[in-house]
Formats: sequence, C-alpha cells, structure tokens
Amino acid sequence: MIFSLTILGAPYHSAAPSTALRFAKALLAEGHQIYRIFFYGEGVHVTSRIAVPPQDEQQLSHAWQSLITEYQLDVVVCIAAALRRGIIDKQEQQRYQLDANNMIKHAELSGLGQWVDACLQSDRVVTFGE
Amino acid sequence: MVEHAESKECKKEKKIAVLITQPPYQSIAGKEGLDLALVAATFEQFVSLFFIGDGVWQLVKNQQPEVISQKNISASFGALGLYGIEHVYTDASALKNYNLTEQDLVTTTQVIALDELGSLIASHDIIINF
Repeated sequence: MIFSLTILGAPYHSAAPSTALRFAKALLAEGHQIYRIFFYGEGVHVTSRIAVPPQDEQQLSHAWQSLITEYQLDVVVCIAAALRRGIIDKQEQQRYQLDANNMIKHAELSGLGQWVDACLQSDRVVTFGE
Repeated sequence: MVEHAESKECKKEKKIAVLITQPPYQSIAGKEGLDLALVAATFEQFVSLFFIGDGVWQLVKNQQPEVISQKNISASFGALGLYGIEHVYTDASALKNYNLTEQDLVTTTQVIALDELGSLIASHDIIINF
C-alpha cells in the first residue's frame, strides 16, 4: 500500500514524532511505499537539525534524517508553519537575511497543497497528532 | 490489479474530516486546522469541519483577541461557505457543557450528539485532528 504520514506533534511535547518514526520504519520493513512525510504545526520542530539533547537521549531529528536519507523519502515541511517557528533552510535564510539556517537535509519547505497531493496519491494518510 | 485500478479511480477526490478540538489563543492549532481545510477545499476536495470539545470556542461570537495581541480567526470561520466548506458540525455535548447555544456562534452548523459524530467522522477517507 501507498502511505503518507502527517506529523503534528513536537519532540518533548508529544510522542507523535517518535511514534511516527517507528511506524515509518515498520511500513518500510513490511514492503509498503511511503509517498510523502508532511510536517505541519508543532511537528515542524522535528526538522531542526541543531537540537542538542543529552547524550543518553535520542536525537530525534538525526534519527529522522537517517531514515529520510537511507530511503530517499519525500519530505515536505509546511513553509508557513516552519517560518513562524524559526525552522529555516538556506533559501529562506537568504530571503529574510537571517544569520543562520537549521533545517535538516533532503526536506523541502512547501505549502499545504503538497499535503492535499499526498492525500490524493496515497491509499492511507496517517496523522500523528499533538 | 483490479484493486489497484479502483484505487486509481478514487484519487480525484477524497473526503477529508478536519477536527478542531483546541480552543483559540491557547495554541495556533485552530488557525492551522482552518488553513489546511481551506487549502483542501481550494483543491476541490470534499472537506468537513468538526468542532469538538473545547474546539467549539473557536466559533463563539464577539471575540476581542486584539487586546492580547492575537489575530481574530473567528471571522474566517464565519465565512466558510465562501471557501466552499459547507459541512460544518459542532459537538452538542460541548455546547451544552459550556452553556452555549447556536445563537452564540459565528456560523450555522449542524449540532450533532457525540455518539453520532463518531460514525460521521468515520465515513471520511482522511481524518486529521487539531
């Protein structure tokens, strides 16, 4: 089956991003396809690559980055949700003349139309809420 | 293969249920849920909006969030019909609990008992909860 995942919860506030990560791994292990991972709302915080938790805790954005890179997953981060929360890629850093960017690699800032597209292209869209 | 062909057929339109369970101003979830619903409607999807539990406060008239430096989104909820969202439901028990009536709300909604909301929500292809 073709799945897409929507992630609405932030690390430390919600179990959503880590549950979604395990769910994504289970899907791939079972031979399902993932059409798109869409980070929205507080979920965009997962895509900050510069979080530095204590060494004995999971670094969630690194764990997501590994999975995304390994399986070349299509990852979209809602641009409006990201910008207002300070999740910035190189392009937005230049556009707003900011002194840093912090978003993970192989992910794209784009609009909610990408979420609708994922709904149309997938057999199932599973949401991991706050 | 037959099953695959059928799933291709239904890719043109999905029934999307957007659930709003959080009150305004405590978080931005209501605004982000609204944005998602509006975009899905723009892309000609069948969108239903459900206001459940504390979410019914999103619809209450005469909000003055300017005094706490917040934007008023209840006006947008009052104009859902203009955006092509005609299926709007509120949770009867929440209205009763908060001593609210339909006259207190910015828009006409179908007031539905909680136990009936469940099957109504389940009739959608995609359910997303804010």
